[in-house]
Amino acid sequence: MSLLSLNVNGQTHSLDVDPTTPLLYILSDDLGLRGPKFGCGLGQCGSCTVLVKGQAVRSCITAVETVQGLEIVTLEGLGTSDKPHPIQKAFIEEQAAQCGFCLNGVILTAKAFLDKNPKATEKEIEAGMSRVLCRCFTHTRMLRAIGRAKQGMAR
Amino acid sequence: MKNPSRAERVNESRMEPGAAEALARAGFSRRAFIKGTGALIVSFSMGGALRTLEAQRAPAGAFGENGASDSPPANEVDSWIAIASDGSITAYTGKEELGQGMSTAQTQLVAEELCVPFHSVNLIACDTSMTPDQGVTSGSQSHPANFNRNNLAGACATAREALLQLGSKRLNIPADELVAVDGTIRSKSDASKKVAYAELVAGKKFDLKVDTAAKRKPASEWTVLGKPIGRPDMAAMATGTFE
Repeated sequence: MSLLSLNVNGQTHSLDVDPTTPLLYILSDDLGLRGPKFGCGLGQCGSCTVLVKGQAVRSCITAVETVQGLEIVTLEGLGTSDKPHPIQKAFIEEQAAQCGFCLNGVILTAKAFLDKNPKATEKEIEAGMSRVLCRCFTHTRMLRAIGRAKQGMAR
Repeated sequence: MKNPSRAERVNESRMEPGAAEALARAGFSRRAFIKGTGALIVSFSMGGALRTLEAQRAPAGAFGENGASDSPPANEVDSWIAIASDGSITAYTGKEELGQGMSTAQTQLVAEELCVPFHSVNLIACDTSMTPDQGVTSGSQSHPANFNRNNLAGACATAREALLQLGSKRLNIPADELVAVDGTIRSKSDASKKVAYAELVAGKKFDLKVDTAAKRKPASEWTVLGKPIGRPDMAAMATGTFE
Protein backbone atom coordinates (compact mmCIF):
# COMPACT_ATOMS: atom_id res chain seq x y z
CA MET A 1 0.00 0.00 0.00
CA SER A 2 1.08 3.56 -0.53
CA LEU A 3 -0.38 6.98 -0.16
CA LEU A 4 -1.57 8.46 -3.46
CA SER A 5 -3.13 11.78 -4.34
CA LEU A 6 -5.91 11.74 -6.91
CA ASN A 7 -7.57 14.76 -8.48
CA VAL A 8 -11.10 13.70 -9.43
CA ASN A 9 -13.76 16.12 -10.63
CA GLY A 10 -11.89 19.04 -9.14
CA GLN A 11 -11.42 17.47 -5.72
CA THR A 12 -8.19 16.10 -4.31
CA HIS A 13 -8.36 12.74 -2.56
CA SER A 14 -5.61 11.12 -0.50
CA LEU A 15 -5.84 7.36 -0.65
CA ASP A 16 -3.82 4.58 0.87
CA VAL A 17 -4.04 1.91 -1.82
CA ASP A 18 -2.08 -0.64 -3.78
CA PRO A 19 -0.59 1.52 -6.55
CA THR A 20 -1.33 -1.14 -9.18
CA THR A 21 -5.08 -1.15 -8.44
CA PRO A 22 -7.14 -0.35 -11.53
CA LEU A 23 -8.31 3.26 -11.43
CA LEU A 24 -11.90 2.07 -11.97
CA TYR A 25 -11.92 0.18 -8.65
CA ILE A 26 -10.71 3.26 -6.80
CA LEU A 27 -13.34 5.47 -8.45
CA SER A 28 -16.17 3.01 -7.81
CA ASP A 29 -15.26 1.42 -4.51
CA ASP A 30 -13.29 4.11 -2.70
CA LEU A 31 -14.86 7.27 -4.10
CA GLY A 32 -18.35 5.83 -4.67
CA LEU A 33 -18.70 7.19 -8.20
CA ARG A 34 -21.43 5.62 -10.36
CA GLY A 35 -20.50 7.01 -13.76
CA PRO A 36 -17.64 4.72 -14.76
CA LYS A 37 -18.89 1.14 -15.15
CA PHE A 38 -17.21 -2.24 -15.10
CA GLY A 39 -18.00 -3.78 -18.48
CA CYS A 40 -15.44 -6.18 -19.89
CA GLY A 41 -12.57 -5.42 -17.53
CA LEU A 42 -10.21 -5.71 -20.48
CA GLY A 43 -10.30 -2.21 -21.90
CA GLN A 44 -12.31 -3.40 -24.88
CA CYS A 45 -15.85 -2.09 -24.40
CA GLY A 46 -15.34 1.46 -23.10
CA SER A 47 -17.93 1.56 -20.33
CA CYS A 48 -15.23 2.39 -17.72
CA THR A 49 -13.98 5.45 -19.62
CA VAL A 50 -12.83 8.54 -17.75
CA LEU A 51 -11.11 11.68 -18.97
CA VAL A 52 -7.49 12.09 -17.91
CA LYS A 53 -6.18 15.51 -18.93
CA GLY A 54 -9.06 15.62 -21.39
CA GLN A 55 -8.21 12.31 -23.00
CA ALA A 56 -10.55 9.31 -22.94
CA VAL A 57 -8.86 6.60 -20.89
CA ARG A 58 -10.11 3.12 -19.98
CA SER A 59 -9.97 3.09 -16.24
CA CYS A 60 -10.31 -0.68 -15.85
CA ILE A 61 -6.83 -1.24 -17.28
CA THR A 62 -5.19 1.92 -15.93
CA ALA A 63 -3.11 1.45 -12.79
CA VAL A 64 -4.04 4.17 -10.32
CA GLU A 65 -0.39 5.17 -9.75
CA THR A 66 -0.06 6.25 -13.39
CA VAL A 67 -2.66 9.00 -13.05
CA GLN A 68 -1.83 10.45 -9.64
CA GLY A 69 -1.83 14.21 -9.64
CA LEU A 70 -3.43 14.35 -13.11
CA GLU A 71 -6.82 15.94 -13.76
CA ILE A 72 -9.42 13.15 -13.85
CA VAL A 73 -13.01 13.85 -14.90
CA THR A 74 -15.82 11.30 -14.70
CA LEU A 75 -19.34 11.52 -16.09
CA GLU A 76 -20.48 13.07 -12.80
CA GLY A 77 -17.87 15.77 -13.24
CA LEU A 78 -19.26 16.98 -16.56
CA GLY A 79 -22.62 18.16 -15.32
CA THR A 80 -25.63 17.32 -13.18
CA SER A 81 -29.24 16.43 -13.91
CA ASP A 82 -30.18 20.04 -13.23
CA LYS A 83 -27.20 21.53 -15.06
CA PRO A 84 -26.06 19.01 -17.67
CA HIS A 85 -23.04 19.62 -19.88
CA PRO A 86 -24.10 20.38 -23.50
CA ILE A 87 -23.14 16.87 -24.56
CA GLN A 88 -25.17 15.32 -21.74
CA LYS A 89 -28.04 17.62 -22.65
CA ALA A 90 -27.83 16.43 -26.25
CA PHE A 91 -28.08 12.79 -25.13
CA ILE A 92 -31.05 13.58 -22.91
CA GLU A 93 -32.80 15.48 -25.69
CA GLU A 94 -32.20 12.73 -28.24
CA GLN A 95 -33.13 10.09 -25.61
CA ALA A 96 -30.00 8.32 -26.77
CA ALA A 97 -29.85 5.28 -24.50
CA GLN A 98 -31.69 2.13 -23.76
CA CYS A 99 -30.20 0.39 -20.75
CA GLY A 100 -27.62 3.16 -20.38
CA PHE A 101 -24.77 0.97 -19.17
CA CYS A 102 -22.41 2.05 -21.96
CA LEU A 103 -23.51 5.66 -21.85
CA ASN A 104 -20.65 6.79 -19.62
CA GLY A 105 -18.09 5.64 -22.17
CA VAL A 106 -20.07 6.92 -25.12
CA ILE A 107 -20.50 10.42 -23.71
CA LEU A 108 -16.95 10.82 -22.42
CA THR A 109 -15.36 9.39 -25.58
CA ALA A 110 -17.51 11.72 -27.68
CA LYS A 111 -16.60 14.67 -25.46
CA ALA A 112 -12.86 14.00 -25.79
CA PHE A 113 -13.24 13.48 -29.54
CA LEU A 114 -15.28 16.64 -30.16
CA ASP A 115 -12.93 18.74 -28.02
CA LYS A 116 -10.10 17.66 -30.29
CA ASN A 117 -12.11 17.59 -33.53
CA PRO A 118 -14.81 20.25 -33.22
CA LYS A 119 -15.45 20.20 -36.98
CA ALA A 120 -15.50 16.45 -37.42
CA THR A 121 -17.70 15.06 -40.17
CA GLU A 122 -20.27 12.35 -39.51
CA LYS A 123 -17.92 9.74 -40.89
CA GLU A 124 -15.08 10.96 -38.68
CA ILE A 125 -17.33 10.87 -35.62
CA GLU A 126 -18.38 7.32 -36.50
CA ALA A 127 -14.73 6.32 -36.78
CA GLY A 128 -13.89 8.11 -33.54
CA MET A 129 -16.66 6.27 -31.70
CA SER A 130 -16.07 2.88 -33.26
CA ARG A 131 -14.28 1.40 -30.24
CA VAL A 132 -17.10 2.07 -27.82
CA LEU A 133 -19.58 -0.78 -27.66
CA CYS A 134 -23.34 -0.57 -27.14
CA ARG A 135 -25.16 -3.87 -26.96
CA CYS A 136 -28.60 -2.26 -27.17
CA PHE A 137 -27.73 -0.95 -30.65
CA THR A 138 -28.63 2.61 -29.84
CA HIS A 139 -25.94 3.91 -32.20
CA THR A 140 -28.20 5.85 -34.52
CA ARG A 141 -29.58 8.00 -31.73
CA MET A 142 -26.15 8.33 -30.14
CA LEU A 143 -24.62 9.62 -33.36
CA ARG A 144 -27.54 12.03 -33.65
CA ALA A 145 -26.87 13.22 -30.10
CA ILE A 146 -23.16 13.68 -30.79
CA GLY A 147 -24.03 15.65 -33.93
CA ARG A 148 -26.35 17.83 -31.87
CA ALA A 149 -23.66 18.27 -29.22
CA LYS A 150 -21.18 19.29 -31.92
CA GLN A 151 -23.49 22.11 -32.96
CA GLY A 152 -24.05 23.14 -29.34
CA MET A 153 -20.40 23.04 -28.33
CA ALA A 154 -19.30 24.97 -31.45
CA ARG A 155 -21.48 27.91 -30.43
CA MET B 1 -33.85 -46.77 -27.69
CA LYS B 2 -32.46 -50.15 -28.65
CA ASN B 3 -32.37 -51.69 -25.21
CA PRO B 4 -34.76 -49.89 -22.91
CA SER B 5 -34.52 -52.40 -20.11
CA ARG B 6 -30.80 -51.91 -19.88
CA ALA B 7 -31.10 -48.16 -20.10
CA GLU B 8 -33.73 -48.28 -17.43
CA ARG B 9 -31.51 -50.28 -15.14
CA VAL B 10 -28.65 -47.88 -15.63
CA ASN B 11 -30.79 -44.84 -15.06
CA GLU B 12 -32.59 -46.36 -12.15
CA SER B 13 -29.35 -46.76 -10.28
CA ARG B 14 -28.30 -43.22 -11.10
CA MET B 15 -31.55 -41.50 -10.39
CA GLU B 16 -31.76 -39.77 -7.07
CA PRO B 17 -34.93 -40.42 -5.04
CA GLY B 18 -35.89 -36.75 -5.23
CA ALA B 19 -35.64 -36.76 -9.01
CA ALA B 20 -37.76 -39.87 -9.31
CA GLU B 21 -40.39 -38.33 -7.06
CA ALA B 22 -40.43 -35.12 -9.04
CA LEU B 23 -40.87 -37.09 -12.22
CA ALA B 24 -43.74 -39.00 -10.67
CA ARG B 25 -45.39 -35.77 -9.48
CA ALA B 26 -45.13 -34.39 -12.97
CA GLY B 27 -47.08 -37.43 -14.15
CA PHE B 28 -44.29 -39.25 -15.94
CA SER B 29 -43.02 -42.68 -15.28
CA ARG B 30 -39.29 -43.16 -15.42
CA ARG B 31 -39.81 -45.58 -18.27
CA ALA B 32 -41.80 -43.06 -20.30
CA PHE B 33 -39.20 -40.43 -19.55
CA ILE B 34 -36.40 -42.60 -20.84
CA LYS B 35 -38.37 -43.63 -23.91
CA GLY B 36 -39.31 -40.16 -24.88
CA THR B 37 -36.45 -38.08 -23.60
CA GLY B 38 -36.09 -36.09 -26.80
CA ALA B 39 -39.71 -35.07 -26.95
CA LEU B 40 -39.99 -34.55 -23.25
CA ILE B 41 -37.26 -31.96 -23.16
CA VAL B 42 -39.43 -29.88 -25.42
CA SER B 43 -42.57 -30.43 -23.44
CA PHE B 44 -40.80 -29.70 -20.15
CA SER B 45 -39.43 -26.40 -21.35
CA MET B 46 -42.77 -25.49 -22.87
CA GLY B 47 -44.38 -26.35 -19.56
CA GLY B 48 -42.05 -23.94 -17.82
CA ALA B 49 -42.75 -21.19 -20.30
CA LEU B 50 -46.48 -21.69 -20.04
CA ARG B 51 -46.38 -21.65 -16.27
CA THR B 52 -44.45 -18.39 -16.45
CA LEU B 53 -47.00 -16.92 -18.84
CA GLU B 54 -49.79 -18.15 -16.65
CA ALA B 55 -48.21 -16.54 -13.62
CA GLN B 56 -47.85 -13.25 -15.44
CA ARG B 57 -51.40 -13.28 -16.69
CA ALA B 58 -52.77 -14.83 -13.60
CA PRO B 59 -55.73 -13.28 -11.92
CA ALA B 60 -54.85 -11.35 -8.86
CA GLY B 61 -53.18 -13.23 -6.10
CA ALA B 62 -52.40 -16.26 -8.17
CA PHE B 63 -48.66 -15.91 -8.47
CA GLY B 64 -48.60 -18.92 -6.22
CA GLU B 65 -45.57 -21.06 -5.83
CA ASN B 66 -43.27 -18.77 -7.78
CA GLY B 67 -44.08 -15.66 -5.83
CA ALA B 68 -42.51 -14.66 -2.56
CA SER B 69 -45.10 -15.55 0.04
CA ASP B 70 -44.67 -12.31 1.98
CA SER B 71 -44.98 -10.01 -1.06
CA PRO B 72 -48.08 -7.81 -1.24
CA PRO B 73 -50.94 -9.82 -2.75
CA ALA B 74 -51.61 -9.01 -6.39
CA ASN B 75 -55.38 -9.01 -5.96
CA GLU B 76 -55.37 -6.01 -3.60
CA VAL B 77 -55.51 -2.48 -5.01
CA ASP B 78 -53.30 -1.28 -2.16
CA SER B 79 -50.52 -3.59 -3.34
CA TRP B 80 -50.25 -1.51 -6.50
CA ILE B 81 -51.24 2.04 -5.65
CA ALA B 82 -50.98 4.52 -2.81
CA ILE B 83 -52.14 8.14 -2.80
CA ALA B 84 -50.32 10.44 -0.41
CA SER B 85 -51.77 13.44 1.39
CA ASP B 86 -50.01 15.79 -1.08
CA GLY B 87 -51.78 14.01 -3.95
CA SER B 88 -48.64 12.29 -5.23
CA ILE B 89 -49.11 8.73 -6.41
CA THR B 90 -46.84 5.84 -5.60
CA ALA B 91 -47.26 2.82 -7.82
CA TYR B 92 -45.72 -0.60 -7.19
CA THR B 93 -44.86 -3.06 -9.91
CA GLY B 94 -43.16 -6.40 -10.28
CA LYS B 95 -41.92 -5.62 -13.79
CA GLU B 96 -38.45 -4.14 -14.02
CA GLU B 97 -36.83 -1.48 -16.15
CA LEU B 98 -34.18 -3.13 -18.32
CA GLY B 99 -33.63 -0.36 -20.81
CA GLN B 100 -36.76 -1.34 -22.71
CA GLY B 101 -38.66 1.59 -21.21
CA MET B 102 -40.99 -0.36 -18.92
CA SER B 103 -40.72 2.13 -16.06
CA THR B 104 -41.78 4.93 -18.39
CA ALA B 105 -44.61 2.91 -19.94
CA GLN B 106 -45.94 1.75 -16.57
CA THR B 107 -45.77 5.28 -15.20
CA GLN B 108 -47.76 6.42 -18.25
CA LEU B 109 -50.30 3.68 -17.60
CA VAL B 110 -50.81 4.75 -14.00
CA ALA B 111 -51.01 8.42 -14.92
CA GLU B 112 -53.54 7.64 -17.65
CA GLU B 113 -55.84 5.34 -15.71
CA LEU B 114 -55.77 7.49 -12.58
CA CYS B 115 -56.07 10.77 -14.54
CA VAL B 116 -53.06 12.44 -12.93
CA PRO B 117 -50.01 14.17 -14.44
CA PHE B 118 -47.16 11.86 -15.47
CA HIS B 119 -44.72 13.53 -13.08
CA SER B 120 -46.91 13.03 -10.04
CA VAL B 121 -46.41 9.27 -10.27
CA ASN B 122 -43.49 7.62 -8.53
CA LEU B 123 -43.00 4.02 -9.64
CA ILE B 124 -41.29 1.49 -7.38
CA ALA B 125 -40.27 -1.69 -9.14
CA CYS B 126 -39.36 -5.17 -8.05
CA ASP B 127 -38.68 -4.82 -4.38
CA THR B 128 -40.73 -7.85 -3.43
CA SER B 129 -40.97 -6.77 0.18
CA MET B 130 -43.21 -3.92 -0.99
CA THR B 131 -44.21 -4.71 -4.58
CA PRO B 132 -46.19 -7.68 -5.89
CA ASP B 133 -43.86 -10.48 -6.95
CA GLN B 134 -44.46 -10.89 -10.68
CA GLY B 135 -41.64 -13.30 -11.37
CA VAL B 136 -39.35 -12.60 -14.28
CA THR B 137 -39.33 -9.59 -16.57
CA SER B 138 -38.75 -11.11 -20.00
CA GLY B 139 -40.11 -12.23 -23.31
CA SER B 140 -42.23 -9.15 -24.06
CA GLN B 141 -44.61 -10.32 -21.32
CA SER B 142 -44.63 -7.20 -19.17
CA HIS B 143 -47.19 -5.38 -21.28
CA PRO B 144 -49.61 -8.31 -21.41
CA ALA B 145 -49.07 -8.82 -17.68
CA ASN B 146 -49.58 -5.30 -16.43
CA PHE B 147 -51.65 -3.59 -19.11
CA ASN B 148 -54.43 -6.18 -18.98
CA ARG B 149 -57.50 -6.13 -16.76
CA ASN B 150 -55.65 -7.47 -13.74
CA ASN B 151 -52.53 -6.32 -12.02
CA LEU B 152 -51.35 -2.73 -12.37
CA ALA B 153 -53.91 -1.54 -14.91
CA GLY B 154 -56.78 -3.30 -13.18
CA ALA B 155 -55.77 -1.82 -9.85
CA CYS B 156 -55.65 1.69 -11.35
CA ALA B 157 -59.05 1.32 -12.98
CA THR B 158 -60.53 -0.07 -9.75
CA ALA B 159 -59.01 2.83 -7.82
CA ARG B 160 -60.43 5.41 -10.24
CA GLU B 161 -63.92 3.93 -9.94
CA ALA B 162 -63.56 3.90 -6.15
CA LEU B 163 -62.48 7.54 -6.20
CA LEU B 164 -65.53 8.40 -8.29
CA GLN B 165 -67.75 6.68 -5.71
CA LEU B 166 -66.02 8.43 -2.82
CA GLY B 167 -66.29 11.75 -4.68
CA SER B 168 -69.96 11.10 -5.32
CA LYS B 169 -70.59 10.70 -1.59
CA ARG B 170 -68.52 13.74 -0.69
CA LEU B 171 -70.01 16.06 -3.34
CA ASN B 172 -73.46 14.52 -3.15
CA ILE B 173 -73.56 14.16 -6.93
CA PRO B 174 -74.29 10.85 -8.74
CA ALA B 175 -71.08 9.14 -9.86
CA ASP B 176 -72.11 9.11 -13.52
CA GLU B 177 -72.22 12.90 -13.47
CA LEU B 178 -68.65 13.04 -12.22
CA VAL B 179 -65.34 12.81 -13.99
CA ALA B 180 -61.76 12.22 -12.86
CA VAL B 181 -59.45 14.99 -14.05
CA ASP B 182 -55.96 15.94 -13.00
CA GLY B 183 -56.05 14.31 -9.59
CA THR B 184 -59.54 15.51 -8.72
CA ILE B 185 -63.08 14.23 -8.97
CA ARG B 186 -65.31 16.93 -10.36
CA SER B 187 -68.76 17.51 -11.72
CA LYS B 188 -69.05 17.17 -15.50
CA SER B 189 -71.34 20.19 -15.69
CA ASP B 190 -69.80 22.43 -13.02
CA ALA B 191 -66.00 22.35 -12.76
CA SER B 192 -66.08 24.30 -9.51
CA LYS B 193 -67.68 21.34 -7.74
CA LYS B 194 -64.64 19.17 -7.13
CA VAL B 195 -62.61 17.31 -4.55
CA ALA B 196 -58.96 16.21 -4.73
CA TYR B 197 -58.01 12.52 -4.51
CA ALA B 198 -55.80 13.38 -1.56
CA GLU B 199 -58.81 14.64 0.40
CA LEU B 200 -60.72 11.46 -0.39
CA VAL B 201 -58.09 8.87 0.49
CA ALA B 202 -55.03 10.53 2.02
CA GLY B 203 -53.41 8.30 4.58
CA LYS B 204 -56.01 5.61 4.10
CA LYS B 205 -55.97 2.39 2.18
CA PHE B 206 -58.44 1.56 -0.54
CA ASP B 207 -58.98 -1.84 1.07
CA LEU B 208 -60.41 -3.18 -2.19
CA LYS B 209 -59.84 -6.22 -4.36
CA VAL B 210 -58.70 -5.54 -7.91
CA ASP B 211 -61.91 -5.56 -9.96
CA THR B 212 -61.28 -7.05 -13.39
CA ALA B 213 -64.58 -5.56 -14.54
CA ALA B 214 -63.53 -2.01 -13.62
CA LYS B 215 -63.89 0.27 -16.61
CA ARG B 216 -60.64 0.97 -18.43
CA LYS B 217 -60.11 4.24 -20.20
CA PRO B 218 -60.70 3.74 -23.93
CA ALA B 219 -57.69 4.44 -26.16
CA SER B 220 -59.61 7.25 -27.84
CA GLU B 221 -59.49 9.19 -24.56
CA TRP B 222 -55.81 8.65 -23.84
CA THR B 223 -53.74 11.75 -23.27
CA VAL B 224 -50.60 10.18 -21.74
CA LEU B 225 -50.50 6.56 -22.85
CA GLY B 226 -49.45 6.00 -26.43
CA LYS B 227 -47.87 9.44 -26.63
CA PRO B 228 -44.12 9.94 -26.90
CA ILE B 229 -42.63 11.12 -23.63
CA GLY B 230 -39.09 11.59 -22.38
CA ARG B 231 -37.80 8.83 -20.16
CA PRO B 232 -37.64 10.06 -16.57
CA ASP B 233 -34.48 8.02 -15.96
CA MET B 234 -32.60 9.54 -18.90
CA ALA B 235 -31.00 12.52 -17.17
CA ALA B 236 -29.71 10.35 -14.34
CA MET B 237 -28.19 7.92 -16.82
CA ALA B 238 -26.48 10.70 -18.74
CA THR B 239 -25.00 12.28 -15.63
CA GLY B 240 -23.83 9.17 -13.78
CA THR B 241 -26.38 9.44 -11.00
CA PHE B 242 -28.58 6.49 -11.96
CA GLU B 243 -28.67 3.88 -9.22
